[in-house]
Amino acid sequence: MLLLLIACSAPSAAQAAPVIFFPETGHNFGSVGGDEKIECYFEFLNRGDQDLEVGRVSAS
Amino acid sequence: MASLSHLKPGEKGRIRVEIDLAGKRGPVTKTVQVFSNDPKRPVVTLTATMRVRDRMHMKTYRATQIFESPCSGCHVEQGRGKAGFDLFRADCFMCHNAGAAATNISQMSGRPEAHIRRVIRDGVEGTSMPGWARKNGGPLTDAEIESLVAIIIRPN
Repeated sequence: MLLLLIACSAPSAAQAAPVIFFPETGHNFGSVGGDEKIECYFEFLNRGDQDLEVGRVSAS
Repeated sequence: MASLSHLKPGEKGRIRVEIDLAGKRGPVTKTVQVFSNDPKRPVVTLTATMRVRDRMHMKTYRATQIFESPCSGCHVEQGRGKAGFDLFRADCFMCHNAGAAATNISQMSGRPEAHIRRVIRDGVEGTSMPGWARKNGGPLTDAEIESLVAIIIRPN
């Protein structure tokens, strides 16, 4: 009985995690000109079942 | 949208990427790394690509305007009195390099010699490549054109 309980609970414990999902991870601006600043947005979703923490974003 | 740093299950967020184009020219790729507590994907790399052109080259010109001021300052005058590779470097390379939209020298070198000569002399209709021969209003003599043909068909 105890083994059965463990077997049933183990998979859900393993799946309890945040999952970061970006529909798009690339953006092509095409041809841009001048010495201006341009911007774009990358949307993302927490597809997991735990809170997602984004700790740091670094650019290169 | 939720805040960037903390998302509950099912929530959406977004990351704003700003790129300063000052001092950048040609093909540019910028990457952004996003670190999170997702155990299977703790780092996601986002990529932004672009081709940066200066303001002067955002406009479409007639091909032969390259021989007139102000275009000629970069595209013609620096090649005066030069031949072969020196002439190519001065007048052709800014358009015909590996990162540019125009055909680069290694791509051109596989084409028939007569075709290369004709393109330099008469240009390519419907493109920004003008005819560089004097009979077409260009600055190059037949000898200068031949010097370009020679280094294009045998670049090494």
